[in-house]
Amino acid sequence: MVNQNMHLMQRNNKGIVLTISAVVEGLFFIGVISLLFWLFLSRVLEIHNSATEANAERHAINLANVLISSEKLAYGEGEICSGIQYPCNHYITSSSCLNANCGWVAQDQSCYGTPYDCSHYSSSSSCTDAGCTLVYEKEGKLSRGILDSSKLDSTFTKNSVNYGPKDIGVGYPNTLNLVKVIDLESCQDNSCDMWMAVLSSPTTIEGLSVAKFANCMSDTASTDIGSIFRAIPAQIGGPLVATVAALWQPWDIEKCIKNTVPENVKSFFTGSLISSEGLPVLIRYPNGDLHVGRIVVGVGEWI
Amino acid sequence: MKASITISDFVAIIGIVGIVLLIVTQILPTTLSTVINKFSSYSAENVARQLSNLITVSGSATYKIDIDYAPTKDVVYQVSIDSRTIKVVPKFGVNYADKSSSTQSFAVDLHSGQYTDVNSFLIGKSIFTPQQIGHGESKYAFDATKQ
Repeated sequence: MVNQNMHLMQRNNKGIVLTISAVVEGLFFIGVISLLFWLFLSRVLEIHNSATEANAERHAINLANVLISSEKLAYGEGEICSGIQYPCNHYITSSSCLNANCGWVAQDQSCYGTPYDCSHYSSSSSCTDAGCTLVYEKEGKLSRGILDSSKLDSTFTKNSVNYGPKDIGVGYPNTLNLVKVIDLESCQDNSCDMWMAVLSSPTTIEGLSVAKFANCMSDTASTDIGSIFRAIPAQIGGPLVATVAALWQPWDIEKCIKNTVPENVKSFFTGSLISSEGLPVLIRYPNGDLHVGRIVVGVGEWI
Repeated sequence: MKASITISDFVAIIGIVGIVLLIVTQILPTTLSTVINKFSSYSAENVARQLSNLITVSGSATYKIDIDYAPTKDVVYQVSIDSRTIKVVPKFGVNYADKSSSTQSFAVDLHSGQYTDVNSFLIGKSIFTPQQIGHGESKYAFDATKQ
């Protein structure tokens, strides 16, 4: 009887132990999840998009796309008027062209010109408006991807290198924006007609990579108790290494390098220099000839 | 003394092991993935990147374009634009998130401005021609509101 009671008690105790262990396991598991969630909130949210992205390449492609659509470089359909004979009655000459400062306007209201002395057109039955500059940008008739050689001549330097920055309202800040337009059909003896320019862009101290890196490092510096343990073995590398090891965790330094050091520098270090072969374009000359070319854009971030 | 285990104990242990396995292998990864995706799409880094890209790419339109971008209705941001850079600071419910601001650059001229508590963005580009005479010039616009 006593043995039976003892056996029953043992079984009950065992059941209780199992239940308690299950409860403890559950609590432990909840604790692990809570820890993971805390880690996520405290660490993961801090990190930037970890997907390795070719920033410079993306910027170069975006910039090239903007340039081939820019009114500063792209050919506008309206300029087809240049050098072509029109009947003078095509133009309104009475009210809008009485003085040299007014603009002249085509009757169909689709052709706008620079200020021009329209008396030129008043006497003959036809006239050549070789001097006028018609633009169609307003109507959205820019030909994306067709670059105007006369606009290239006025904005870029042809067949020579001029590092004086040109401001055409396009270019990434804190970067060197180098643009080359190559006429592939003009190539002779390994030499092609080429227009080059460095586009000017705003430069700010806080936008420089060095400043961003310094900010990142100051944000992540910590003087906890662990800094002593990190500093002691790092003494071998000297006082500077010991100080760095004491103040920053290795992954903090890695994060700052990953997020602030420019792609071009990282590419240099990794030996996989990103380069673009450029976008295909057509180059239109004043006589109407179209040449196949390429626009090559290089974007290098200032350090 | 010989250790013994009842059927109910055995079933309970198997059940607990099964539930733990289910949570670890199925529910936890799914939940974490969902949470990470949610935070990623709302993150300042993502919003700043999207905005800077959209602003730059709007320059590829030859005449006129309007782009609406509304990443979320649940989170609001503080956005500032200056010197062809855009800075986005999210306002999450948790304090940690405020640290995760992001600054990205874009390639076209846009007026400086500051927008507080916004989550819907409008980017516009059009060719502006003064008095409809002379060469046109690209003008860019940015506006932000709260949805």
